[in-house]
Amino acid sequence: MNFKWAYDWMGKDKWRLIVSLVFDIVGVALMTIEPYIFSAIVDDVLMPQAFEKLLPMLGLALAIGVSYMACRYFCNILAEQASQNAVYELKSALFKKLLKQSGDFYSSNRTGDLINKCTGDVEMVNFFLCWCIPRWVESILMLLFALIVFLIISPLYTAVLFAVTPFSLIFATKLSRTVRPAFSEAREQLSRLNTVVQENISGNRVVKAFVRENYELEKFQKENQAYKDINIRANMIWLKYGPIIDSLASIMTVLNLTVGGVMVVLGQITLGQLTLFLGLAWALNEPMLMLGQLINSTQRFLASQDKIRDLYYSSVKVESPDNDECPENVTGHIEFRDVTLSYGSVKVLDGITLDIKPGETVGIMGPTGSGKTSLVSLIPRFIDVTSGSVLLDGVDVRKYKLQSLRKNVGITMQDVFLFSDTVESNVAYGVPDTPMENVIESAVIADADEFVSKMPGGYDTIGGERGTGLSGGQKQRISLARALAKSAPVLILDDTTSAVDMETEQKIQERLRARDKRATTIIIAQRVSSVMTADKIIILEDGKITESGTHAQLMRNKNGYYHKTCVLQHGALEEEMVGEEGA
Amino acid sequence: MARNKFNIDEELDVPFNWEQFKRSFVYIKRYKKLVILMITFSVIASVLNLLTPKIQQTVIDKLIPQGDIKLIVILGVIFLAINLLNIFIGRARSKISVNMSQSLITDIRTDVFEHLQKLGFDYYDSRPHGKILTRVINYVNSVSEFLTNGLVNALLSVLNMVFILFFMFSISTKLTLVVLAGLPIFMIYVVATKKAQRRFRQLRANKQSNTTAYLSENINGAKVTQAFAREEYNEKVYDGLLEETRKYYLRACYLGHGMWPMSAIIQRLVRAAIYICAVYAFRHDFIVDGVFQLGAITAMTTYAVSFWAPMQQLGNIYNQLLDTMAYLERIFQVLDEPVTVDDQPGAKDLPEIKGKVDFEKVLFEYEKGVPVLKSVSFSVAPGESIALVGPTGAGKSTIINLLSRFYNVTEGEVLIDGHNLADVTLKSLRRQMGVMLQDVFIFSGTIIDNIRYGRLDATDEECIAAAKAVHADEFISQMEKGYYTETKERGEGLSAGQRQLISFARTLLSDPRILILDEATSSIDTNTEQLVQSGIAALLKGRTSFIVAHRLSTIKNCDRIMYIEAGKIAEQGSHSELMQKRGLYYKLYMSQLNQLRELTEEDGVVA
Repeated sequence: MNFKWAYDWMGKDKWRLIVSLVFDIVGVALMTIEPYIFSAIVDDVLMPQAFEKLLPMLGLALAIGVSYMACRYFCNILAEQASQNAVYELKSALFKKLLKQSGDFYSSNRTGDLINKCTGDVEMVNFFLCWCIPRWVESILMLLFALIVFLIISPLYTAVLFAVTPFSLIFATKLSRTVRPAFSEAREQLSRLNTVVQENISGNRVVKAFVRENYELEKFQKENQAYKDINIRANMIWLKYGPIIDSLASIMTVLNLTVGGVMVVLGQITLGQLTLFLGLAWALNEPMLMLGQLINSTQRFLASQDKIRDLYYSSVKVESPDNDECPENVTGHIEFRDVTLSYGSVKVLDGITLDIKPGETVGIMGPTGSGKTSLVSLIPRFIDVTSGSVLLDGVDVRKYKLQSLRKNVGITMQDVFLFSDTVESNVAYGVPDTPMENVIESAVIADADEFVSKMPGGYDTIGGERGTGLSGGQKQRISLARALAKSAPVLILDDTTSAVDMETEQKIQERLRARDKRATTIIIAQRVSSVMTADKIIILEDGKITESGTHAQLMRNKNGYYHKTCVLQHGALEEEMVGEEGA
Repeated sequence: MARNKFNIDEELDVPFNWEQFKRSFVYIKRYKKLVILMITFSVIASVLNLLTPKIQQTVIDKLIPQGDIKLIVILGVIFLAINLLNIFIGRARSKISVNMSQSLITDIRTDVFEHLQKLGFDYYDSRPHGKILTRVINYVNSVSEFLTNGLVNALLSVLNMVFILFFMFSISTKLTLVVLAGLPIFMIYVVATKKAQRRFRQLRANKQSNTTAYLSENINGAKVTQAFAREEYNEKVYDGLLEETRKYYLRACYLGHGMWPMSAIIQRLVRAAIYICAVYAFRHDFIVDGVFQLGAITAMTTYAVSFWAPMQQLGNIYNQLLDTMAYLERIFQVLDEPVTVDDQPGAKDLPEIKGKVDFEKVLFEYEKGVPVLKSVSFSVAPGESIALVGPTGAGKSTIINLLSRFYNVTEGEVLIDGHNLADVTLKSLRRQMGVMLQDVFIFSGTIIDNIRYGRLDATDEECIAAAKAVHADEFISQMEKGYYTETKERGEGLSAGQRQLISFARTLLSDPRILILDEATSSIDTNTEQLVQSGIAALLKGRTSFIVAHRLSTIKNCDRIMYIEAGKIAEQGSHSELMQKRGLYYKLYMSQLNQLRELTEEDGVVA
C-alpha cells in the first residue's frame, strides 16, 4: 500500500505518531467543550450575578484551555519526532543504496536528480507524516462526529445537508487525478534545474575559459522559467478545483442555516436543535474545506514517494555474494580467463587471457578507447565480465564479498576524485584510522609529501571538491598515496602519472619497487617510460591483447604498437644520443 | 583563503539584522501592485467574513420567531452569494500570491546564479559544490512563502489588531488595558526564546547544507568510495550528519511549536482577567442604575479573543521569519561575495590579438604571504610556441591562469600586444584565448553539443571538421549515434583520452588567437597525439601558444622552453640552447635519455 510504505519508515517510533493522534483527538474534544464553559460563565455566573462561582468556573475553563494547548503541543512534537525518525531512516537507507550502485547506474541518473530524491522528496514524506496524517485523521473524525450527532437528531435534515458531499467527492477525485502528474512534472523540472546549476558549478572553469557565462545564464533561465511555469500550472489546477470544493462546503453551511430555519418554522426540529446544528457547523465545514488542500498535499507526497521508491528499489548490478570465499592472506595472483566484456552490442574486451603472478608488475598500453580501463575495472568488480572469469588467488572475484575483494585491491583512477577534505583524510580514505606515519609514508612514496608539507596547512590543508586548486600532477600523487595507504596486495595504477613529470615518475617507480612487500602492480599508461621497467608489458588494441612481453621482447617486433610508440616518444632522443655523445 | 568542507558550518559574520531583511524588499517592490491587490482582496474578504455571524443572528433571532420562510430563503441566498464571492476573492488572492511567490523565487535565483557566474575559481575551489547548489536551489525555494504571504498576512494581522483595539477602547479603557497586559507576557516568551530559536534555525539550515554537500560528493565519488571499501564508514558519517540535522530540526520545533499554544494560553488568561476585573475591580463601572452591564463585558471578551487571534498568527509568521532569515542571509552572502576578477571601470575591448605576450615582474600569491610566482618577466613574440617545464607545483599552471586573467596578478603586469590585461574586458580577452585545461569537463547533452560549446553559432559541419582535425572523428563516428551520442554528466562512459579529444575539438572550434594547452594530451595515446599535433600545428601557424607537457617529444618541438622552478624562470631558450647550457633542462633531458639508454643497452636492443 502506498501510504503504508512511508508509515513503515517510522519503525519503532510508530507509537509516537499514534500517541500524537490521540493527543490530537483529545485536543479537538477539549476545543469542542471549551466554548460551553465560557457560555456557562455568562449564563450561570454573570447573568444571575452569582459571582462566587466565577473563580472556580474560570479555573475550569483555564484548565481545559491549557490542557487543549498541551495536547496540541504534544501532538505536534510527537508527530515531528516520529516523522524525523522516519526521515532519518529513509535518508540513511537511500544513502546506503547509492553507495551500492555501480557505474552504469550513475551514468544513467543525473546527480541533481539523485540529490533531489534524497533531500526534497524525503522532505515531502516529512510533511506528509507530520502534517497530512494528523489533518486527515482530524477531518475524518470531525465529519463522523458531526454526522452521528446530526443523524441522531434528524435523519432527514442530515440527508439534505449531506446531499452535496457526493459532488465534493467527485471534484476531489478530479483534483486528485489531475494534480498528481503536474506535481511529478514540477519535480522532474526541479531535477533538470538542479542538474544545470550543478553542472555549471562543477564546470565553472570551462564556462570561464570559453566566456560562456551568458550562454549558461540562458540555459539556466530556460529551466528556471520552466520550473516557475510548471509550479504555477500545478497551483492553478488546485486553484481550479479548490474553490469548487470550498463552494460546496459553503453550500452545506448555507443549507444548514436555511433548511434548518425552514424546518424550525415548519416544526420539524426545535430551535434548540438548530442552535446545536449551527454550533456544530465547524465540524462540517473544517473537514470539507480541508479536503482540497489535503488531497493536494497528499498527491504531492505521492509524486515524491514514487521517486524515492524508484531509487530505493533500483536494482544493483554488482551484488555482493552471501558467502565470502576470500582466502586469508591474499597474495595478489590475478588471472583473466577468456574474458569478454560487452556494453550493449559493443564488445569492449574480447577473449582476454592473462596471468599475473604475485608481486609482478604489468604495464598496459594501447590506443585511446581500447579497453584498458575496462580491463582493470573487472578486478575490483566495478563491472562484471560478460563471459569468462577473473580470479584473484584462484578464486573468482564474484565469489568474494565486495568489501573483502576491494580491501585487497588498491586502485588509482584516471579521473582523480578527491574529496573536499584535508589531505590527510584524503590519503587515509581507505583506512580512516591509520596512524599519521602511514599517511606520510604513503605520501613519501607517491612523492606527495614534499609539496604537501610546503602547503601552509600541511596535511591539514583542505582541498577543493575533486581537488580543484591542486595541479593535475599533485592530484594524481595524492590519489596514488591514497591507494598506497591501503597496503593492498594488488595495486592498479590507471594513468596515474600522466600529469607528473618524468623525473618524479621515476622517483615514484623506484620507491614503489623498494617497498618491503611488493604488491602485484598493474600500470596503465600512455608513456613508454611509465611501463618499460615492468616485468611484462601488454598491448591492448580494440579489446584484444596484441602484444605481450618485456620491453626488450616487444622492441624486437618492429611493426608492433609498442615499438612504434617507443620510437615516436623516444626516437628523437635516440637520434640525439649519438649527437650528445659526440659532443 | 578559508576553505570549507562538508562538516564545517559556514559561520556568518553578520548577526540577525534588519538591513538584511530590508534587502529582500528590493524583490518585493517589483511586485508592489500585486501586493496592494492582495491586501485589498484580503481586506474585502475579512469584511465579508464579519457579515456571516450577523446573518445567522438575524435568522435565529428575528426570522424564525416570525416564521418567515420566504425571508429565510432569501437571506440564505444572500448568504450563499457572500460565501461564493468570498471564495472567488480568495481564489484571486491565491492566484496572485502563487504568481508572485514563483516570480520571487525565479528572480532571486537568477540573481544568485548570475552572480555566481562572476565569481572566480577561488570561490568554487574553497567549498564543497553541494553547498553552493543548496543555496541556489533549496534555500531560494524556502524563502518565497514568507516574502509573499507571510508579510502580507503580518500586515493584515496588525491592521486587524489596530481596528479591534479601537473598538475595545470605545467600550472600556480599563479592560482594554487588561487585554493589552497580555502582550508583555507574550513578548517575554518571544524575547527569551529568540536567541535560541534563531540559533537552532541557523544551525538547522547549516546542517542541511552540510548533509547535502556530503551527499553530493558521495554521489560523484561513489566509485572511489567503493574502490576503497569505505561504504560503511561513509554511511556512519552521513548518519552523523543526519542526526545533527534532526537534532536541530527538533530543537527548533520544540520552541517554534510553543509559540501558538503560548499565545493561545495568554488569550485565555486575558479573557479570565476581563471577567475577574469586571466583577471584582471595576464592578462600579459596569453597574448602571443598579444593573450589571453584561453586554459590554461579553463584547469585550469577544474582542479580546479577536485581538489575540491575529496575534497567534503573528507568532506563526514570526517563526517563518526566523527560518526565512536563516536562508536569506545565506543567499545574500553569495550575492555579497566580492567579484575578485572583474572588468575595471572604463575597461576597453582587447582588439584582435596579434600574439605578443609580456610578463613584467609578475608576482602572484593565492594565499597572502605565500608567493607562487616571484617576479616573473618574459616576452613572447607573436607566433612563438612556448613550452613550460619544471616540477609539479612550480607555477606553470599559474602562469597560464594569469594569461586568461582567471586570477589577478598580485604585483606586476601581464600584457598582450602591449595592452595590460587589467585594463581590457574579460570577455574580449578570453574569447580570443583557447585554453585546454587539465580537467576536461564534459556537459550532459550530446557530443556535438559539447564541441559546439567552443563556438555556439558553429554549424554541425564545422563541429565535425574540428573533430576531424584533432582526429576525434575516428572514435566518434564508430559510435552508434555518432556525433549525437548522448554524453553523461562529466563524460561518464568516455575514456579520459576520448574526453581530451572532444575538448580539443571544442577549443579548436573557438578559433583562438592564443592557444594554451595544460597537460591537454596526457591521456591520449602517442599515435593520436602526433596526429592531433600535426593537425593543430597547421591550424595554429603564426599563433602564439603555451604548452605544459611532460612528454619530451612534445616539448622539444617548441620554439622556446622555459624551465620553471619555485615560482621563477630558472632557464629559457630553445632545446639546443638549453642542451648546450647543461643546466636543469639538460639534467631533466639526460635523465630520460639515460633511463632509456640503460634499458636498451641492457637488453642489447637498439631501436
